[in-house]
Amino acid sequence: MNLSHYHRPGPARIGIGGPVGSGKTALIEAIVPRLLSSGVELGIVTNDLVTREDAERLKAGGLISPDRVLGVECGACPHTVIREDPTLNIEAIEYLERTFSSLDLVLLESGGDNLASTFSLDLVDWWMFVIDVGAGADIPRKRGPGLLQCDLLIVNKIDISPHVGVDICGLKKEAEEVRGGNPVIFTNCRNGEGIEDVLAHIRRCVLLEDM
Amino acid sequence: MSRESQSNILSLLNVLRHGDSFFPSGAVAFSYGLESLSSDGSVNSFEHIEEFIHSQLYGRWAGLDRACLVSAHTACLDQVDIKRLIEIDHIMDAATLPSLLREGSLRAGAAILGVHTKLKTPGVTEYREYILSGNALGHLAVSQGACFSGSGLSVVETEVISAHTLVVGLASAAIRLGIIGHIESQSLISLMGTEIEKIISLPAPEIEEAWCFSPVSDIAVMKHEVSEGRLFSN
Repeated sequence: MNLSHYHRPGPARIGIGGPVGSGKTALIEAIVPRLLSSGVELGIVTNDLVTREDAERLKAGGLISPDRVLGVECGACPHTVIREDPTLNIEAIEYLERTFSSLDLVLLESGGDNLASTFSLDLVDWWMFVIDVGAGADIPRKRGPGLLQCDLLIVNKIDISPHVGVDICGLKKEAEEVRGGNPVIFTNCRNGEGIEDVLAHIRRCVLLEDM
Repeated sequence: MSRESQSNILSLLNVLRHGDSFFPSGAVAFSYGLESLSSDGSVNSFEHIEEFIHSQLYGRWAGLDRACLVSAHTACLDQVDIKRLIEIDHIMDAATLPSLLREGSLRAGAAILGVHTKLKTPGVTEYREYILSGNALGHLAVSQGACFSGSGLSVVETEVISAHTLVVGLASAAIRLGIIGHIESQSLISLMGTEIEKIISLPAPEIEEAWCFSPVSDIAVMKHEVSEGRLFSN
């Protein structure tokens, strides 16, 4: 893993991208309590596309103090604010850093993307891309920079595969092939399946706990 | 090529870079009330957009933003006059009624200052430190004046870039709201260029005489504040 961009002081930053409805907020809801219980100090920035629903959902869920969650509107340009012009997100993250000086980690949830979206490494240190089984078995075959370039690909909602006619073994094989050996994790964020694997990656690659 | 013409080309490129919507400034998140007016059906045609942008240029930018911009640019010419920037900021703040406009201006100001700090633009870091420590506000027009002055742009270039990026930002927002298309947006930007030229050909108001009158968009921004579904920050 290239750590050359780890020159920025302050907490580590993780980007979470992926299509609307793939389970980005559910993933955050699954990993936040586990990170908090292990003593990780967290902040969250969300880029809701039209509403502040994701930010409000995280604030209202009781998982994390509401003042540690910020919503940033993206003017119908969810890709732009995580790549070409991430300035408002950077300012929001830096606000959290100034307000909570002991932060270890900031999670940034994008507003919902197509497969072409990627995160600027001026904005985040490491990023995940979340797709879901319900979108169809051919999503990995479509490739796309988001799916190929992310540090960790997450395939969520594996529990619904029998209901949407998706062969999970075939999907897994294709996802791993197009990723060229880079990690892919299959999750069901609702019951926690696969979440410990996601956390292990975060601890090793972002929090550098094994170094 | 003569040295003078080379210098002109570099100067032109500097203007183009700062006036380009590719320059990271956070502008995509702001509609200045346009989204609210579009939602309630008040603005739904090319003519409406033209009228809206015209009113933003003449009712807000010409009297308030421009006065703050020019004063801030002047305050940063030799060395940065922080006390003056703080005064200008407070005038801008007092003249901006809707809270979402004030917040948006501060966020956009923070965004441009953040970029120029990282670009090491002369004079910007000190002003930003005052803002981060709570001793200055950092409104957009004031921040633009400071950043553009530090970037070697003349006051006229600074005015042109500020007005042009406002027009382009609103035209872009109108496209994303589905009100106009890409060709209409270019017609609009061209039409507004003539208005920008008219405004800038007159002397800028002194900061002590800064004024603003944009009641329709102010009310629209206030309505936007309580809107549940929104794409834009204001």
